Amino acid sequence: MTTTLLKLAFAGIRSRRLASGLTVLIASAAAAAIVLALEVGATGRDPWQRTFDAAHGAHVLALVDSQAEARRIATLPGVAERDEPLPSALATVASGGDDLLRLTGLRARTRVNAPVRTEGAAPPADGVVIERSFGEALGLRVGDTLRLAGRPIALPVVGTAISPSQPRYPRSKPGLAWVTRAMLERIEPDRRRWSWTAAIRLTDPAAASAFAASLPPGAGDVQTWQDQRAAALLDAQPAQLILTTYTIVLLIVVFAVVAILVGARAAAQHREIGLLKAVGLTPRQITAMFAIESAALGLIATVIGFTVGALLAPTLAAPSAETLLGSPAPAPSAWHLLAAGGPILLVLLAGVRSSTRRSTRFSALHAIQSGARPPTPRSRLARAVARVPLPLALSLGVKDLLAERRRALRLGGAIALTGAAIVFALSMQASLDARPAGEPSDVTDELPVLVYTLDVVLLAITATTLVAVALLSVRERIRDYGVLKTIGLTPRQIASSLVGAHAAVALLAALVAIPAGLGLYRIVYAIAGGDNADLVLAPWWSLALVPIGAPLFVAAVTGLPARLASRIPAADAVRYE
Amino acid sequence: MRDHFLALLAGEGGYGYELKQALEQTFGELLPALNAGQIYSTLARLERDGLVVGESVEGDSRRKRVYELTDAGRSALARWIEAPVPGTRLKDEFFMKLVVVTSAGLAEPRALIEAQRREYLQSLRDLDALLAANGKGVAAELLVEGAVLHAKADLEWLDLIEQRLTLAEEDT
Amino acid sequence: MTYVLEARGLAKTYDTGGAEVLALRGVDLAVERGEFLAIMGPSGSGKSTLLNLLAGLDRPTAGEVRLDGDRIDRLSETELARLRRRKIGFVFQFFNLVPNLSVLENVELPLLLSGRGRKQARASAVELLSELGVGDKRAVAPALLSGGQQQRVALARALANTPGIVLGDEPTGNLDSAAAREVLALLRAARERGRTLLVVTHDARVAAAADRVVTLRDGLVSDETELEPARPVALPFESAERP
Repeated sequence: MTTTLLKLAFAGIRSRRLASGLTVLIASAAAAAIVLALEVGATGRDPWQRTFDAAHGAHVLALVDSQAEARRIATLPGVAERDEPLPSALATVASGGDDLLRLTGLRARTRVNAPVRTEGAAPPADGVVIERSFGEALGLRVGDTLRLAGRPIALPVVGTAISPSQPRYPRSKPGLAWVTRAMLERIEPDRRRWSWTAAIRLTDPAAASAFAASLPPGAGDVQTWQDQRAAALLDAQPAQLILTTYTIVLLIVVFAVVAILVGARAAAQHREIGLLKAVGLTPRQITAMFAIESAALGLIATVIGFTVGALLAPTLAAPSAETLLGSPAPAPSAWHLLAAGGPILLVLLAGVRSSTRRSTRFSALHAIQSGARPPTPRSRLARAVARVPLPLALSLGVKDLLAERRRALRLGGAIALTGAAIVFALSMQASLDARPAGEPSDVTDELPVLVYTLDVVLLAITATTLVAVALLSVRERIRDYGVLKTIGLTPRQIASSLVGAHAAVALLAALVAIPAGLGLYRIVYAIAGGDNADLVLAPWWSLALVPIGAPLFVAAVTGLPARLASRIPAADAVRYE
Repeated sequence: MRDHFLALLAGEGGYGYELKQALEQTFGELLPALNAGQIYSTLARLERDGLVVGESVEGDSRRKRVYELTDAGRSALARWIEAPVPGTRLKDEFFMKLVVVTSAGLAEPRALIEAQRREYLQSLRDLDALLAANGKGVAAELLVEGAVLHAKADLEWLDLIEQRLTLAEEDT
Repeated sequence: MTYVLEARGLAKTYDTGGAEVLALRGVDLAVERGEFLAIMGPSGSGKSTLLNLLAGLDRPTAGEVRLDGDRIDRLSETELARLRRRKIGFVFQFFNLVPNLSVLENVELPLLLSGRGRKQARASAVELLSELGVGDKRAVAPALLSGGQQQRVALARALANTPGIVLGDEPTGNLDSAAAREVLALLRAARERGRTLLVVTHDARVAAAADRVVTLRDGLVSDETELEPARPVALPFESAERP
């Protein structure tokens, strides 16, 4: 029986190319999102390690108030290597904003936690060497002049460098820069305002947390190398968060779409399934046949998604790699493939199961004789809607849609999720617009691009799903449309019944999408550690685009299938089997 | 009608006039009323053939004879009951007419067929009207339904004949 | 006089991937108001094609169709649809009730289409269904009814807008003889009320109820017969055997 099932499954795939293609498309998108979410974080790990090694990084980094304290820390047991404690002072950049800069004064090249030169001169140098992400954020390049507020000092920027202990500015403030000891004394003559950094390497790196814990509390700011790494990788967090959110959204849409497609397939092949049952297949085996088919599509989709995700990951990770050495390299692993494939297959199979339950439990004889699946009894929702006075064409279309209640709900769900994603993007855009000009914010420029791209992908998927489902509906209704034409419905009325009903669903879905999208944005913002006071949601006039745009969008997309429906020749249609 | 008489006489013997009543009761409108003469002549023939035997009984009228089945009569009756009515009816008035008239070249076959079709359709109409009129017994209804079905079959046969004619014409 | 339906030189050719099929090859037909016309013929004779053309469901390759004197073969689909609403009721062999709608909603549909108000449409539909003997089934889904009941609902739908013409495509073709008789009786009742009836059928009994029977063969009219009102039938038992 298994061979038969396999053969049947693959024959099924070939014959339903559109449906199969759509399934693969959307499952690939979900798989790519999963892979990206996993990899964006992973691409950070190796470069950080490289940076740390290049800098001969500090296992423990302590920022304290006095030189004596710093010396004491450096001489605690367990310390393998240490440098002279380094002085540093805070200053504000004279650009009108409140960009704070910590200037570290070096007398000579340090051994532990040395800044890694990326451009120009290495510290210490005449002038200032700024940390790379700080320079990017403020638009400072080698050759520019850095002025400090409140002090008549102009520092020529002679180079850029990175440090494993410094996450990306402005995520991590203050910024970092290196000057000579002499220059530091000029910038901040009051030594009491200096802080001292002790950079230590331990004999046992793993004991870093214990070492840090052993220091008296209140001594100052203490970071272990694990802390540094986590902070660096935190840059990838917003992107990961967004990707995770969209992954969930995409997986739900996958479920809905697969359920719709498989359900429609099963209904169309009612008679064939009846024949299979007559031959001896059990309902479970029939479900298994559909499941194998979907699983095969899911595997293809996972591979595609994995490839796409692996290719795109470096681009996404680039911003977070500004503080790290080397270009981010894709770090795909078999585990990522599994992590992507697992949820995809689960969701696909769940979709199949949910939609074939009804389709496999019926009398085989009845199916063979009548050919068509008996209509579902009218739901309460449908009966309630039937009482609403709607224009005739719209009322017919809505009744048609509600005849397949689950399909309508799933379609509405997919539209609502897409709408929510758009609301999410609008809120993000509003946050970006709300920040004062010139001030770099937590939300970097790459994130909106990511979100918009994902939204476009989601829109494309929803549009394709709409077309596919509308075409399916039309095919199922050929005879009915012919009969309606005979009774006297004009082609335009038939088209508008289809378009109108879908637009109505879109309107309802859009209204659901707004609170859903805003809620989603709130949650993601909170997880990303944003301050609630700073939370900016999309303004009402941009939100209004959603309930206006969704029906229009859906109407435009279903226009083509509706046109086909209106062209059905009545004379042939009424005799269609 | 002889076998039907035998069947009616099968139980006990009967008088001639009792037979008349029995006939009317059994067949009702399906039969025209037979007059006494026809009944007695049939009985006489049956007696002559040795299937029934009549016994004069003293009574008011000279005609009162009681008739009874003989053994021969009983076996003839039994055979008649067992044997189904012949199914193959290779006799059709219209067909004979069609064959003879067209072979003699007296008329076009199509014209005959069309006229006959009209007749069958009209008959159907008449029979349907009869059915629609109430007050008939079940037997009468069934009889008319039977005639309707025969008429439908005859119409089909006409179609077949016409089709074959067309084919024959195309071949020549 | 203006015929209710008229066809002149009607021809229809189908092009099915290379081979041309001449479904109708020049048919003339004139249907008088209040007439009951039956169209018979073997399969492939073009009867359904003729019906489709007369109803405006298809466009002829040649010839013209007139409904109440106006040509309809050149009208747009929209105009034809509007015309059909008011003037033509259609009954199909396989009933063709809309499965998503209840029985009542099916019958209301033509009424709502022609602009009747909801309450009025509902009331008319209910009344019509009761007249045809299926009033108690009005909230039911069509698929749950028997063949005869479904066809009666279909007939109610066809008669909802009191059209001038009722067209039937093998209306008894899918019914057992008892149901067929009932439907035929209902059709004749509709005709008594002034509707013109045009029925394509292969059931001779239905044809025999008509005033006129047209026989099609190979896309042409091959026979036309007018029937008279029923003659009285004597019931004497006629047997080959003489008593």
